[in-house]
Amino acid sequence: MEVEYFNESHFSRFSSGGRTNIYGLSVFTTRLGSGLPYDREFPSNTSKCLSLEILTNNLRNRENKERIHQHLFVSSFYGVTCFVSAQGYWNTIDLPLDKDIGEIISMDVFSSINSDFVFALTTAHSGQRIIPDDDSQSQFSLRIYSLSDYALTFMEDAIFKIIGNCQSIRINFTPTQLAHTTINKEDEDCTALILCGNDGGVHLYIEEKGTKKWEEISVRPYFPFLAGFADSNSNILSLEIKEFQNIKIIAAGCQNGMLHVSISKRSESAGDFEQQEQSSVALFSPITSISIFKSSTSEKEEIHMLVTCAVEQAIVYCYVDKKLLKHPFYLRECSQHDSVLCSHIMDIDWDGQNEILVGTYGRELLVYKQGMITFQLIWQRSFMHPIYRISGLDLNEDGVEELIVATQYGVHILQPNLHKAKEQLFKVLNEIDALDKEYKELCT
Amino acid sequence: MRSICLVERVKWKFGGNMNPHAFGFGDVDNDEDNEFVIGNLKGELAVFKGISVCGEPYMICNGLGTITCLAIGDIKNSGKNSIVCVNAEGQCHIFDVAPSNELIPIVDNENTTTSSKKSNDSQNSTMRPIINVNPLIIEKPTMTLPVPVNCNRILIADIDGDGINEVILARTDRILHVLRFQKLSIDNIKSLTKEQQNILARSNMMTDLASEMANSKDKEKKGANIVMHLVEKKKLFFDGQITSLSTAKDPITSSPLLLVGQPGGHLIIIDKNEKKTFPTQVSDNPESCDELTEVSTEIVSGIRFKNGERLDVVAIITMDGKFTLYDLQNSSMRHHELRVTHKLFGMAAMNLCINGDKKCLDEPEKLGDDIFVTCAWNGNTYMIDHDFNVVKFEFETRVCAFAAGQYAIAPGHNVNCFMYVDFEDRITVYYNLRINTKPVTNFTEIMNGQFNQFDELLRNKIPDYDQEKKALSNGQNQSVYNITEFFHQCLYQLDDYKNMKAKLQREIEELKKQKREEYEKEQNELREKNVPTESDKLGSADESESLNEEQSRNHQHESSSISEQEECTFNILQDVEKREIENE
Repeated sequence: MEVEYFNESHFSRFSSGGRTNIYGLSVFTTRLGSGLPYDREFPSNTSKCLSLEILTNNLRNRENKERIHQHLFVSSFYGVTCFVSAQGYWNTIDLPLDKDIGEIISMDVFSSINSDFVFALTTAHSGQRIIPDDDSQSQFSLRIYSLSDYALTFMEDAIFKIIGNCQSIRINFTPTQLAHTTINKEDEDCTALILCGNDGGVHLYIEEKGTKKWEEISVRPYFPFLAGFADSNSNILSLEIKEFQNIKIIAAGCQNGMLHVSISKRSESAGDFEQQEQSSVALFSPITSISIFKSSTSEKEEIHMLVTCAVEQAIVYCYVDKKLLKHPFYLRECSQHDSVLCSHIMDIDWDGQNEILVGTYGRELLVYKQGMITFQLIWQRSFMHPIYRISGLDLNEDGVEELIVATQYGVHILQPNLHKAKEQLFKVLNEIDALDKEYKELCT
Repeated sequence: MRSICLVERVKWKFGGNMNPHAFGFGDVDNDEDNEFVIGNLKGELAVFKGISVCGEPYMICNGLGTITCLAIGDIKNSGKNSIVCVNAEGQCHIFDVAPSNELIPIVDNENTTTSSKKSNDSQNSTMRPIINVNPLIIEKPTMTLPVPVNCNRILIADIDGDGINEVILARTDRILHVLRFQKLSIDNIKSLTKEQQNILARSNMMTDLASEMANSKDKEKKGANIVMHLVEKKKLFFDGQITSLSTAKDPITSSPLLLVGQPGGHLIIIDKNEKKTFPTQVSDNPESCDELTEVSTEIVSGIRFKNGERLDVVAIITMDGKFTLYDLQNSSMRHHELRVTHKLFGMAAMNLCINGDKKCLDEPEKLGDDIFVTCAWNGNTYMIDHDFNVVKFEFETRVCAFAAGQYAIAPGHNVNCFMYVDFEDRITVYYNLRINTKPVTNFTEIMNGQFNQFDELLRNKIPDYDQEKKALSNGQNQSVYNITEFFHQCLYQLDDYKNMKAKLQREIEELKKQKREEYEKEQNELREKNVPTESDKLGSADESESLNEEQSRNHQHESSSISEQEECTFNILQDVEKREIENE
């Protein structure tokens, strides 16, 4: 009998008319936990505002702030839905965003050095609403909401407070992916927003320490590799920057199908990254997602890069850190389900080996497992609507990670096979226990 | 409330306005595969068989009057099912459908399919051949019998426990007719007692009988002077509109019970001796009573297993969302309010275990309890179990009829299906339903009480272990962060676990070495004394050691060198120490 790796726990539909896109999901890692109690209507409870009654009566005790929590943000055309994780449940919140901000294109949520909670959006305004004294060509803006209030009590509170603190930057290009990274500016680490656009360039924004305003800075000093695209008509659709100990990999996928990758190594003397190699390949179709990953969850392992294309199938570039783009492996089954839109890396069976998850416009989720030399399809599941994003996080903080599949009209929350998880956990515990007992026996 | 998505579906074509009860699931051609039969107010009846990707029915029949209700069952008590289709004009059409393999047109259809494929190929068309399987057209029913006019509910069942099926028809004027199919020769009718003829006359059937007799004269010539009739056995009168009909089994006598739904969420149970019981008490407050009488009520009986015993539980739902479960065994009632924005209609019981697995039916103990499925006009579908856990599915558009039942999408497997008839002349069929009504669970709940055997180990590894474990067993699984963190580490950070293991193994090694040295020292000191038991022990320890080594090798193939592991282990140790200090 076929093993079911995941079962759908809940489907959360966007409020009417909402649709997401390939940039519409972000996982926020923070020390802020949930403050609202379990709701009787869980999991379909959705709050649109924080009522005073809840605040005064039901507020849970402030927890130890040392604990790390992960919360999920998903954008749909006119709104953002936030899933705040709590132990044993999660709370769903519809962000009360101003309708005038326009349609949301891309989103990123993170914490920076200065702010505990930064929430960035790129939006497109409808044609009629153009402010007279503004550049009439600019329809797009980057909106950055941030909170640096260290007295924040809990996540839900922060979400409702952050809406009031917004900085809007007009941009004169069509924005695509929005991401963040750490750069070293004047010998200090600082968090920078990276925004890709149809002008071929990559734009970098940092928060000024004094004014706490976000300002654009030149990309060239920090990412000379990315700065090189500014002149070409490449239009970067997806960008991935990953660091593994001494290696930094930057990969950019363009609308015209060009895939660029650069490998930098940390130089022993300066402690800074120095570009070593770079390579490009034409894939002839827009590149929808890039995931750079280690084949296993342990320390020393091969690094691969998964690239998904709108027309062709998904490709794994094996040992990308050493072989660059010379060892492609094609995940053939993906081509049977329309455009491949997204991918995610996750250890779904707790064996220490990462699996590849791929989502398609043809509504299919495919899971590949790495074999000796190949990747094999081990599980697939159809959904009702096209799959735009896949992610994984422990939404109900029970120790096992939920699978998040964002489809056109809503978010599917799938729980792994908990009985399998129990078996695996027992296997691990039994082994440690046996050793522990042996150790104790010898000690006495 | 949980909400789910259904995925696998197929769309069929079926036009016209329809009565929301004019459909049925059943094995119409007696091949053990269930078909779906549906009729509209224009007198069109369609039978769907198999997945029907092209969306066309398997067979159709036109000109059947204003079809109000239909049923599939062994009306003739011949051991074979027929389609029984009743219209508002007082006609009951009976169709006997031959098994598909005996039907020549099907073979024809297959031939045309292949030939059309060929012709398409010859035209060098790049498009896929359009497979257009035309439905079989049935010219007229096998027989048409007179019944009372204005019937809107039908049930074929044995309600008096004599092993012979009756036809129960509910009329819009609050009268219930119980009829039985009989073969009568003309002579038989003539020889009926006056009383019996009166009964026939009272049920407005005499004129029909006369015409039937006139028709039968033609048949007489052929030597078949037998006439089929639905003879009225009983007639029951009710105070309210009959909104629903169902049957159940008496838990004590095992005899059949007829269940009649009355407006306002009321249920009337009629046993085989026509004794009526009214388990739902009409409220003392006359005002609320008036309010309730307007609300239509659906009744369905479903199976529940109690101590391994199979029982019928009656589910009653009013169209405004009052859901009641009535336990026939102890006459107890439980209520649940379903918060709905649109009126509900139609309810069905469904067993989720049966899905495509016929083995389940042979082993009744493996069957789970039935769930109840109800649908609102806006397409919201609610699945409710016996513990009132509700799961919602939102169908994309408004519906004019909803059916839930068992249907053979692929030959040989009756699977649970939802059928939505919309206002755009389509039927959307969802199959391979993955439905689980249980509320969202989590890993801590699953693990609760399961890891006592590791107490000793976990107490060392997890800060506040006993405190958290106690909280967990008290159902407070919202403050067990240290336990879940450790579980997460065991499942996802296998490196840590490997390091932990390596550290233990190394320590064991060292200790053993130490012990061996000590032992040797002892041996030297006590050379003259022989201690056989000690050496035995050591031998066994060695064995287990080699085993452990092997296991670890299997687990950490290509794993990192010892020195790095030591570093990591050191970090973990530091972490643990830090936590311990914090806790103190």
